[in-house]
Amino acid sequence: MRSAPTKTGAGEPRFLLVTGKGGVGKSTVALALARQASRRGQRVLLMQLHTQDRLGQLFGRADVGTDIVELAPCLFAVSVTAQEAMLEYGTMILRSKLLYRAVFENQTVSRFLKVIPGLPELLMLGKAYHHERELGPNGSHRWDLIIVDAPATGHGLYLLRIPIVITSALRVGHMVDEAKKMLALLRNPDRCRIELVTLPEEMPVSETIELATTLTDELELPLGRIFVNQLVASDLTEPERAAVVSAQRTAVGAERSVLGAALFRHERATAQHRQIEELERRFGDRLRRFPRLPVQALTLADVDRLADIIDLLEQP
Amino acid sequence: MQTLKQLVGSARILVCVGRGGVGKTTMSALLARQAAASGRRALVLTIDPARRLADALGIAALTDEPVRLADPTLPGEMWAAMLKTDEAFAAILRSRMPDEAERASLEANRFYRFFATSLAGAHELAAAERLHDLATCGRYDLVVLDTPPALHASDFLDAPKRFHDALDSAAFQWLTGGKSGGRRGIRIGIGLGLVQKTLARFTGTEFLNELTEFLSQMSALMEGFKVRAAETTALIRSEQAHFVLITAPASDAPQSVSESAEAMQSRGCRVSALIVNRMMPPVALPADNRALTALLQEAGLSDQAAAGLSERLRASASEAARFADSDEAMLRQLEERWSSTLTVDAVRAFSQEVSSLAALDVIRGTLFPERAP
Repeated sequence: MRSAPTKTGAGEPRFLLVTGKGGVGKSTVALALARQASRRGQRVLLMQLHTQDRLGQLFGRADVGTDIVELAPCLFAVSVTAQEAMLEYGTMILRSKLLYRAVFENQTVSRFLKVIPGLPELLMLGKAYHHERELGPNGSHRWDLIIVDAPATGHGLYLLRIPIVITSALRVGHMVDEAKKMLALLRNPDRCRIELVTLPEEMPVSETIELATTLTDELELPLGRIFVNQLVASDLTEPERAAVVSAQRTAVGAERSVLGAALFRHERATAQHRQIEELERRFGDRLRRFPRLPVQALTLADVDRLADIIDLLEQP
Repeated sequence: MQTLKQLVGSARILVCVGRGGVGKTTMSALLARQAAASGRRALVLTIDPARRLADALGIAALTDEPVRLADPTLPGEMWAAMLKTDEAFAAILRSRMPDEAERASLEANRFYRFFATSLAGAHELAAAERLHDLATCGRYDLVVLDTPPALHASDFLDAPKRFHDALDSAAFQWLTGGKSGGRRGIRIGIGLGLVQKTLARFTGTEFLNELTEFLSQMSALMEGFKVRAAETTALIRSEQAHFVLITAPASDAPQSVSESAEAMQSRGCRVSALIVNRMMPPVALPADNRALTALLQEAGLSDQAAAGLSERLRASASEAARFADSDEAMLRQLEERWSSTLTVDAVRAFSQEVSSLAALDVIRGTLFPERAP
């Protein structure tokens, strides 16, 4: 299996693409990564592709739209839609908004554009690529770090496949040129890393292993870290567990309930541990663990807790 | 209003809708299994590209063709199939293209494979057709469809229409210079207008040519697609089809359930059930630790060890109780909003994962309790 070595410290890639199965907390991890880096003074752009979450709410403001907004010091966010990316990109290439509008916003054409395979996705990736290259007023990169909150597994893979399919099938045209540039970024482990998020459960774990193999072996993309989210810990030793099991046989009422809850938690932690072992066998030191937060609705403080954990984990 | 049990006993199609991670696949399998337990011939059809249903059912892999899960304890029949959309779409094309030369020309198109799997709406179109075929073939009394996780639950319903809209004659008249009836060899190089030129600057003429050719061939097949899509839509909107919303008690559940239900209803579909899955089991907390410590001492721990452990157990239990309480509050909120129009059921979380039929049956038992004899 080809993969880039995990790096820490200076010289890290500036382009992180976060993906994983739906419902595993992908957007939360992407935000925690963005938060952690921005707290350290890096100018971070968090790009949401095809995702739907309540990022704005966390920062007590309206939903993040297609214009870049500063959520917190050094932390910027933008939501990328195919339509907006198309307009921006199209105008850039055609050098005329008027021409773009005349052609692309023609009802018949826009209907047709919707079915051109890969075009919307390519343009969304293209926008992310553009920000990676973008220079600030002082001539250095405008963004120290770009974090792309990519769609869930199925669609995420499709997204990453687009530049590869286009460059292998076509020879000329803007799409090819753009796809080539994007591929050069995506495949370069010094510039880009694909970060995966998963849960310590059987199905997400097997899907993550499958996804990692496809990413590295088939698409030849640099795999980054694997974040395991919502880990449940149980601190029961074996004699303690045995005592709880034995006590539960005679317990009644609230005591029985408390003992049951402890066993429930222990069983869950044990089941999760088996999945962690599986992930460790496959990914070794790429693995990063996030605890389950005892909250129903995520707050900024919770994101900061995860950012603290990243700080600890990534210390050299 | 029908109960979930009645729905499973009488519906011909159940479409399970929900976000990723709520246990949609497991619930779909469970509903089919319950139907089989009540004597029906039930098929669960998943269109998720990952092997999740196979995992949940504890079998190695599923194929496009329904496989019967032999179980002598079931009075009915339980079948399962995995829809591989690229294969299904290719099969649909083949069946609509009896002319071998035409088929060969289509399959020779360089982009064919890519197009076949990624053309907007192709997945959903294939899924809808497959659903129609399986639901009307006469071999199953009930087909449970596990839809792919989507940002918007309505994607599944809208995609076939999107697909048709895009391929309808207007787009082709424009693209092919009024020759949309033609079957192949149409080149946009003939009479290039501003629009074509501009588009070509994006995609390159090569890409546009091949795309045009491919879509022209597809266009010729349009009539067949339209007829079948209309049939499928009618079937999904019929009284025999019901939508089952599945959610987990997350803070945004009320909003996402409302969005899904409204989207389905506004498209003429019958939303009949809501399942709130993964509810943390309730925990009762004792007033103090004395009884707990005594129990642990009886179980063989030293006084000190028992006291220490009971303290930790209480802390852990009160955390679990917080989770359970907030799940319960969420359930009540959902019930208040929906129980007058939908049958609302809750399924508690389990410490172990569902990876076998036996485990599935434990959950099924909680959702469909057997009446005591």
